[in-house]
Amino acid sequence: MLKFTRLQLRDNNLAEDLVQEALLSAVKNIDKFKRQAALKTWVFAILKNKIMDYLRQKDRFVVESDLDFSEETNHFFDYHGHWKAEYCPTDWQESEIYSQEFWQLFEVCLTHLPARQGRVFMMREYLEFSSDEICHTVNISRENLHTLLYRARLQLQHCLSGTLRQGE
Amino acid sequence: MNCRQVTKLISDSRERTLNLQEKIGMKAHLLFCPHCRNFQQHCKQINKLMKQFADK
Repeated sequence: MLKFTRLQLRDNNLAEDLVQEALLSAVKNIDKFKRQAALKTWVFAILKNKIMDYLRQKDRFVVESDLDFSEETNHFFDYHGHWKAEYCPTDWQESEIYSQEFWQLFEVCLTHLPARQGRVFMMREYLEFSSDEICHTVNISRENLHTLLYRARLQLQHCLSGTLRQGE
Repeated sequence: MNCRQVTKLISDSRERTLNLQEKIGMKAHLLFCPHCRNFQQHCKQINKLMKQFADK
C-alpha cells in the first residue's frame, strides 16, 4: 500500500499519512465491509479514494508551462517522424512469471517518469479511473491527457526494453 | 502516416474510439512496420504488467 501511494504522490511522509488514514478508516468502517470483495481490495478502494481526494485539492491548478505538448519535444522520432535507431521498439520476451529483479526495475521505470506523466499514467492504468475523472481531477483537457499517456507509454516501453529484449 | 503519428493513434486507441480514417491509416502502416507493431504489443503488455504489479 505504501509503495503504491509513494508512486502516486512522490512524497514519503504524505504517503505514510494517507495509508494510515485509509487503514484507520477501514478499521472504523469494518462493519460496512461486505465480504463480496477481498478485504485487500476493499482497503485499497478506500486508499484510492483518499489519494484522489488529496489530488483533487492539490492539483486544481496546472501551471501552463508544465504542459509542453509540442511535437518537437518528442525525442523518440526523427525529423521525418520515423523511429530513431536507439529508440526502436524491440521484440519482447513474454512470460507468465517475472522475477523479483524485474519488478524492481519495473518500479524504477515508473518512478522515473516525469511527475505529471507518471501521475496520470498511474491513475489510468493502475487506479483504472476513466479519462473524464482524470481530466476533472488534474484539470487538463482530454487531448492533453492523451498526449501525457502517450508520452508515458513511450518512456516506459523504452525503459523496460533493456530487460525484456528477446534472447538476452 | 509516419511512425510518430501511428504510435500516437495506438496509444489513443486505448483511450477513445478512432475514426474510420485513423483506423485505416494505422492498420495500413502496421502492415509494413514491425517497429510500430512491437510498440502496439508493448502497450498491451504494459497494461497487463500494471495489473500484475497492482496485485503484488
